Formats: sequence, structure tokens, C-alpha cells
Amino acid sequence: MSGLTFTLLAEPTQRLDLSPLTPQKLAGLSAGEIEKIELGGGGDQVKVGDCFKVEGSDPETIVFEGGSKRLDWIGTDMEAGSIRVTGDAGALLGRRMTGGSIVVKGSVGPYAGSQMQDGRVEIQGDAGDLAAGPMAGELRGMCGGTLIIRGRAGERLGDRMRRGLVAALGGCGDYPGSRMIAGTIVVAGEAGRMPGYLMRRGSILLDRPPQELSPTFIESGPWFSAFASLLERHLMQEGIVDYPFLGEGPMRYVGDNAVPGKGELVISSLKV
Amino acid sequence: MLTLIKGGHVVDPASGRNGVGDVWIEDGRINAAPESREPDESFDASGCIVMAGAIDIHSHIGGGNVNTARLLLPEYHKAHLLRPNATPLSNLGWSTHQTGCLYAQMGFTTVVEPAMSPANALHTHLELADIPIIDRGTLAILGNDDFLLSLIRDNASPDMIEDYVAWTVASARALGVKTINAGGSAAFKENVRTFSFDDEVPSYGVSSRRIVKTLQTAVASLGIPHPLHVHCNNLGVPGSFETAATTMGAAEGVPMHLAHLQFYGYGTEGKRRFSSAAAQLAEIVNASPEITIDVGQVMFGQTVTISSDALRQFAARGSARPKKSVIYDGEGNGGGIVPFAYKNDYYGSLQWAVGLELFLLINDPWRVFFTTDHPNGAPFTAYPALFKLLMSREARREAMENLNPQALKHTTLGSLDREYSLEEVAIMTRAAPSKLLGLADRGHLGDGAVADVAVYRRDEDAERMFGAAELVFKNGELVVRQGEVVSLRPGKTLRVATQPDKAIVKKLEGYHQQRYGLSLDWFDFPDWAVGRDEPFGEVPCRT
Amino acid sequence: MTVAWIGNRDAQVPLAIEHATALLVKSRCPVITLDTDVDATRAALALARRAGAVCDTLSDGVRQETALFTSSGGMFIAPTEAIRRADVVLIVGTLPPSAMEFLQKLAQTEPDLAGGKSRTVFSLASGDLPDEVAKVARVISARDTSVSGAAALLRSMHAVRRTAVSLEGFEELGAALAEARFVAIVCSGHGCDALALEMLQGFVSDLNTSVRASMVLWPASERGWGSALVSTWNAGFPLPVSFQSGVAEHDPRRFRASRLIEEGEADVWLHVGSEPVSPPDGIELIVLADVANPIDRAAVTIATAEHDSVVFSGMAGTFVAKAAEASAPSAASVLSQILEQLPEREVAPC
Ligand SMILES: [Zn+2]
Repeated sequence: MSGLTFTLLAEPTQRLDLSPLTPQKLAGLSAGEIEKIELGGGGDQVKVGDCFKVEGSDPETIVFEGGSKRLDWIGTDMEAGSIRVTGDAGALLGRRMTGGSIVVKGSVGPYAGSQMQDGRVEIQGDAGDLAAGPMAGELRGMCGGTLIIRGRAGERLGDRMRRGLVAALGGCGDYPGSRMIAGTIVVAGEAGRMPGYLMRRGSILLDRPPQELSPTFIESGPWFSAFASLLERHLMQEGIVDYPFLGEGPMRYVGDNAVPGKGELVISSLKV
Repeated sequence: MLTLIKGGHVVDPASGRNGVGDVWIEDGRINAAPESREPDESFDASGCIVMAGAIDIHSHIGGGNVNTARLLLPEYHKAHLLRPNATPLSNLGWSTHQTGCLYAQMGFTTVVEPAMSPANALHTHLELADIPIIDRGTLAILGNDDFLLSLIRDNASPDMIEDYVAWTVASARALGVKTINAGGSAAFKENVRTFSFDDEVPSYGVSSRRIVKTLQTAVASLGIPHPLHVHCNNLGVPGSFETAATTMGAAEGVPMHLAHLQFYGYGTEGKRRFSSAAAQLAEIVNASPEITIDVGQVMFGQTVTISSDALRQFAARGSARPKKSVIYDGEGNGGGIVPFAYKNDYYGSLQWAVGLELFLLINDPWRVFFTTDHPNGAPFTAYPALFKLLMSREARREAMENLNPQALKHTTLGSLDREYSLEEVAIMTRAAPSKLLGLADRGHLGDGAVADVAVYRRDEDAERMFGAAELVFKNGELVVRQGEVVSLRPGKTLRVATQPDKAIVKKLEGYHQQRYGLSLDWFDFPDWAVGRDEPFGEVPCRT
Repeated sequence: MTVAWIGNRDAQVPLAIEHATALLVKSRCPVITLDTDVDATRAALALARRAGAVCDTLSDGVRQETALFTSSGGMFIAPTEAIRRADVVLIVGTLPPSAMEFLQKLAQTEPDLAGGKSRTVFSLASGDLPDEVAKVARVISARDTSVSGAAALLRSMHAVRRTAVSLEGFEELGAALAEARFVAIVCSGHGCDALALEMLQGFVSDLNTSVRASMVLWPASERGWGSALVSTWNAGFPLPVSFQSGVAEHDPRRFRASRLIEEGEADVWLHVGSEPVSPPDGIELIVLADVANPIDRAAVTIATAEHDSVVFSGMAGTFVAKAAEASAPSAASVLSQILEQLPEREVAPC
């Protein structure tokens, strides 16, 4: 028998909390039991069976057929296995996941990969604000794993990030890598204002100059780190990019000197 | 309407009752002699302990600083998590609604918010009015305000100072007066970073001692029932027991209340130069009948410290966990909000033990009050666990097994066998607070008392017993049944009716016009502003 | 004279209330936006709880100010205390019109608690200041750097760390800071976003290693900030707060009212306050405001007025009572009447 498929019956009329639908939480449940699971999130009591047609049996491979911006918390706390969404997803995709993989065909809401620890999330469309960032009040963003956004990311990509790799390949909004503590952010495409604002450590790599660079980042010459080619090779091996996207001799800036921080901002002049 | 609570074990120290009997309620009051009438409703309390509703004399439940703590820590609100889980602060009584409900469920019916900045009085009362079920009271903070410090510097007459205190208490609708690190916040604004009892506020040349003595005298002369509530200097500092001892020495026979004494019970012995000095402090308290204290017990786990002691909170910023904080320089008093997690390491273990030593070594339950300085030592939801520790030496032994043995060696706790009786608990949480705050109409089950009654199902495990009351009545109305809230009646905020003199109002009007360019109306408010019908209950001054 | 409208037609207030209630009853996702007094906020929160609605402010500045508190906190000073104590004032970013009287006071008075020192006012990226202030303020210029960049420069230069460009006029400021008795940084979510405010708080923290300094954070909207504070004690959270799922939740992105409205997630929008609002297609708008005419494209407009009320005052730094009489009903009373007509709904308390 193949994976477990949840086919969305209609566009939900309220936000749905899909956190109960992960490989670990569904292990050992019958289709009938799964259909009775309550999905919070909105005003009305809604069960899985009210919103989805459930087929298949192996919860290690979950597919959400159809999608919606109102499907929140997909893959929360996921430990292993895979989830595929054939359309859009809502907020908090892969929140605090510790392993496994999630692929979303469409676009997603804010906080994708929020506080994720490990595993891999790939979004083929756009992502909302604070991808790989914390929720309000929290002091930690992403803590490990890989988050790939093929489309454009919103504001504050990788806010308060501590570890892991984030790639936004269709550009990003303002303040990518704000308050970053460590980890790596790669942006191909147009980046907004002030990358690395208030950052302490970590690396932000841009394939072209951002809209505005904070004057508290100091140019420290061309980037010749061994890490450069290693990273590019890793990105290509992982299928994240299919070309050496930084080109020759990108410039390196160190900051945010206001904090003071020792992060690095690597900017290619390839796409000026 | 005549209500009978039948056949419970009544513990009412004020009347000396301690045995099985009935309690009658009529029209919101205790009726001690209902003759032979039939009750309209009757509750079977057999197998239960019946006490007056408890009174908490010191718990930070509302006002600007408390609200800022909520603002600072949304991630600790239980609803912040996807499926409300037990997070460390989830049962802290975070919203006004929760505060009222959680207190009522434990059988507490009156709670005093001890730190209202007069400049923020309306905000405090707006919040207190939104706390359901329970009655509230609040203490006005003085002792860092320019007006008072200037009066003292200029050797103003005692009358003038009394008038100012009376005006402040009246306009802020306070139940009493508190002074917090007297002069310390003012000195901190002048870049002073440590401040002791005999240090002077630079621009005024006025010492903390002089401020405390001035306020203590004024409060006593005005007949405000609650003696000056003193938060000493040097809170939390190793060696601060000397500050507390010196402060108690300055009471000089006139009543004085020391808040959360546990936070001053620290000596400087041992390798870490942090040891228990609880025994020395307890000895002084035992020998000084004019002194009352509350403990401010530490319990383990995540909490947030909320204090108007801006100087101290600024110094504590580095130990914030999670790493964020707010420091506020207000008019007169400011404050600081620093989240903190008490761990069972050397320091946490010692603080925990110091609090218990004070409870157990101070002999007179009429002069030691049950607090965690919510939420500074622990959230008030830790009370049931604390009752158990006081009532069972076995529970203490068990708890000590998980704590740092080096720390415990620097305390006397292991040698203390005392166990609080139910009667002593009732004194400490009912009869004594009634006396301390001048709330003659509650804290006991005598004829005519407000019918605030807590009924607990008797249980060997005091934590279970006090955690969820079987029945709670507030003003005679059933508000809790089997630990669940059944009515959200509004309570009142209790205030002392001081009569300020006209002359001081004129002087203050001039002062505010000159210094702020603002009329005195900005610093006062009409009763309707609270937005509730009859929001206040009046407590008379002593004559 | 009490007035209300259903669409553009005059209506009796009770009928308008009935109509508004009916819209809320059938709504799947109602949103309430507030910039109002304490009682109206209390009533709106109670209504939101019952209706499963989201409450928010329309002020983006209030959102920035809220984020400063939730993400890092900081050091703050009451405006009235700053007037008496600050000998060095630095205005950063633009401030809302409600702050102008305060700025004038700072410019035109001397501190009486600064040990005899007089006041120097500096400004950085503050736009047009009132004449009295512009006359005395020493302008620090960051040229074409944005206010976030300027804030970063300020902190970096004060710590004598390298920067790519310099602030013009920093030397005089630097000298004043070194000698200061009390430094007040005056700013607002109106002109600084949350990260710029956080940067300025870092600067305040740096200053406090040697002198005393703090921030006057002037609310971008006084009533909006007041509503946020009332929500904080009532629901446990600042705005936006959602009661959709039965428990109060705070999330500045998912529950941002402007997003819910623009993206068509909300179907009924109840606005309490005086800012001009205009509904996109497909949303039913109910407005409670001090107006003489119906709001264009609103389903229901009810003219309300502030009676005796309590509002947040930037100058006082806290709530103040404002006595007033009016014939129109208060927003709080209209909201309470709507609440009374709404059917009960299971909602967990916060
Ligand atoms: Zn306290």
C-alpha cells in the first residue's frame, strides 16, 4: 500500500491547524481514526474527514492533494518521513521539525521552517515573512536543517537564525538575516534593504547588491574563503542551485559593527 | 437568603473556633446566630475544613509593570503554543481574568497589589477592576518622588508631610503606603549604582533612613491601618541581611512591615560567599514585636521578576532568562521587569531554604506572612506546594534530596522539625492579614463579617487540599464548586479613606504647573474613570 | 440627536445595531480594528471573544512598538520625567503630530532635576520639526541613509567602531553624551520600525555603561497603544489578538487586520475609531466613529462620541481620564449592545 493522501475537498472557510497530521502522530491509526481527528485553528470544530478525503495507509509518506493558504502548522514537530503539498500551504510550515522532508509545490505563509532543528523543507513558490524566524517573543529562529525557497521570501528571512542553511532563489524582502546569530543564508535574486541588520555571526551570501546596505558593514576585500567553493559545491550537489551563483571574486563585508557583530555579508557583483 | 455550610471542621483563629460546626451566611455576611431558622440552601461540609477566605498581602497582580511583563513575554502565555501545553508560566495568572479565577480556586478572596506608582494609579485600578471575583487593594509607592524628597530636604513640618501622604493615598485610592529601596530609584537616575540605608540621594542630601523614618511616622500618625510597607535596599545582594537588620533596628518600636524578607536573608560565608542568614533575621523579628514580615518564598521554575526597584533590576539585567528585560524610569518610581528561572543549583537551593527557614524560625504566625512575592519568587500558583512544605517536614526532606547539598549545609533547614498546624495556616493567611491591613470585616468567620468562606476537602496531602477548594463563597455568593469557578462576580478595590488637607492640594497644583506645565488633574482621576459601578470599598483609618 | 446608517440610508440606532449583529453572526472571520478608549476596547475584546473575531489596530507604528517589547524590551523613561531630567535629548526619526507639544516643551524649558545643567536638543532623521524645536535643535545628518542605517551609525560611532560613512555633526553629540547627566532618546514606531527601535535600545544600553540614558517611546497612535495595553491585561496579549480558535492567540503576521482585510480572509470588518477606512470588495464594513455622514461603502455606520472616557496619553505616559458630554452613544455602549444580541459561543477564558 502506498502513502497516505489527504485530498482537500474544498477551499477551507477558516484556518486549519494540521499539526496532528505528521508521520509520527498518525503511525498506527486506521483511516477511520484519522478522519475523526479534530483540527483546531478556526471557530468551528472541524474533523479531518470534514475537509479531506483520506486514502492510502502508510503515514511515512503523506501527501496533501490540493492546497490552501489556510493550512497552518503542516509538519509541526515532524521527526522523519515525508510530507508533500501539491498546492499552497499556510503559516508555520515545518515549525520545530527535527527530521524528514517537506516539499510544497505552491507558496506558503509566514514562519516557514520556524525554529526547525533538522530535516529539509523545500518551497517551490514564494514564502511569507520570517521564514526560518521565531514567533513573536521567541529569541531563537531556525536551529538547523535546510530550508529552500525557490520563489521569493518575505521580510526578515532567517531572523535570529542560529544554525542551518536557508536559500531563497527568487530574492527576498527587507532585513534578511536580521539579528542572525549563526548559520548560512543564500539569496539569489533581488534582496531588499539592510541585510544582516543587528547580526552577530553567520554568513549571508547575495548574488547581487541589496537595495540598501547598512553603513555599519565594512568592506574587507574579495572573498577567498575555502568555505566559498565548498558551499557552492554543496549547493549544487543538493540541487539547490545549478550554477556557481556567486561568480568570481565576490566582495566580503563584516558586521554588523553596531552590535558589534562578526558576521559576514558576501555580495557578488555578477548581477549588478 | 440564608445559607448553611454544615458540619465542617471550622478553623477560625480570630474567634478561637477549631472544631466541627456550622457556618451561616445571610445577605453576604456571616450570621453567627441564625436562631432556629431553616436555611434556604445548605451545603454539606462534612469531611471538610472551613476557613474564612484567604488574604494575600503582597502579590503583583496588576498595574503598569505587571502589564509590561505580559507584553515582554508573549511566548510564555499558554495559548501561544499550538495546543495549550503546560509551559513554565502557563499557570501564572497571566490575564486579569485568570488571576481572579486561579486565586478563587485556591480559596483566596482578597489580594493586595503592593506596588502602585501614584503616577500610574489609574492604570493600576483599571486592571484591578478587570480581575473578577476577588476583592483587591493596593499600596501607593512613595520615597523616590521629588516632591517628598524636597520636603524632607527642606525640613518641611511633619504636618505638611502627613498632608502629602494623605493626598497621595486618597488620590491614588490606596490601602496603604509602600517604600521601595527608598531613595534608590531617585539616586539611580543620578547614575548611582549601589545604594544602602545610610546613603544619601545626591541632589537632596537625604538618606534612605530618613525617608523611611519620615514615611513610617506619617503613616502611623495618619492612622493608616497598614504600617509602612518597606522594601529594603540591597535586595538579593550577598550580605544584605545586614541591610534588613539595620532597617528593622530603625523601626524603634513603631510598626513596620518588611516585604519579602527572604531576598535579604543572605550572608557572605562559604566558598561562594553566599550563605543563609535567615536565623539571624528570624531572631531579630522574634525580638521585635513592632515588626511584621512576609517571606517571598522562592520555588523552582521559570518566572519573571517585577519590581519598582529600578536600581536593583538594572543590575539584574545580565541574569535575565530569556535574555530580555525592561527598565523604566518613571516619575518618582520606575521599575524593572527581568524574567528569571530558579534552578536547583547552589544559589536557587539556598534561596529556597532561606525562605523556609524564615517561615519555621519566626515563632509568631501573626507576624510572618505567606507570600512568594508573586511572581518574583514564584507564581502564586505555587502556593499549594508551599503549604505542603510548611505543614510536612517529610515533604521538605523529600524536596531537599533534589537540591544542592553544599547550599543546604549553609542553612539550618535540615534541623528544623516544625510543622505548621491548620490553625497556624489560618492565622497566617486569614486572621493576621485582616489585622495587618485593618480589614476588620474579613479574615474571620465572626458575626457580621463579609461572607468570604473557603471550604477544603480534608486531605493528608496539603498541596491537593489547598490547590482546589471544594467550595468558595465571596460575599456569600458561591463562586467555586469542586475547584471550578461557577460565578464571575465583580469584586471591589479596597481603599483607605484619608482626608487630605486643602492647602496641600493648592501647593501640589502649583508644583505640577511649575514643574510639568500640567494641571494636577493629570495626576488624579475621578471614580467613574475605572469604568465599573462602585469600584471601591472604603476602609476606615484608625482613630 | 443619535444617528446611524444602513448603507447610505438613515436608520434608527437600534436597527443599525441589529443589522451589525446579523452581519457578525453569519461572519466566518470577523475582524475588529480599534483605536479607541479603555471602555470601548474592553467591550470590543468581549465582543471579539464571543464572535470569534480578531482584534487589531490599524496603526503600523503601534505594531512596531509592540514588537520592540515582545522581542527585546529595553529602557524607557516617562515623558514628564524626561522634561525634568534630560539635559541631552536626541530625537531620532519622525514623530507623530501628537508628540509636537512634548517636543516644544523639551525645546522651550530647562530641566530642573539635572543639577543645574541646561538642555541641548539634537535631531537625527526627524523630518520637519515644529519651529520652536527646529530653532534650537542641532541637526545630525545621515544624508541619504535610512533611519535604520542612521540608528546603526549612531550606535557604532558612539562605540568608536568603523563605519562606511559618518554622521555629520556627531562630534558635538558625542561630547554632549560623554558629559550628560541624563540622555533621553526620543522616538516612535511612527518613524522607526521595530528593528531600528531595537538598535536604538542597544545604543541606550551602551550609554548606560557610563552615564544614565533612556528612551521616550512616543506611541504612533495614543489610542491604538492604549487599546494594545488593555488587550494585554484582558487577553494576556497585545494586539493583534485572535479568538478564532477559542483561545486568545497573538501573532502579528497571521492576525494582522490589514492583511486579513486585503487578502479577503475577513468577511466582516468592524472599525472603532476615527481614521478613514474604506472596505475592499467582498467585505462588510461596520464603522463606529464620530461622523456626521455615513462612511462610503460601509454596510453600517453608527455615529458615536467619546463621553467621559479614559484614553492613553503620550505626555502622561499612562492612561488619563477625559470628561466630556455628548448626545451620541459611546462606542462602548454600542459594542455592548451588539454583544448582548450575539448568541453564546463556547470560548475558553484566557
Ligand atoms: Zn513585591
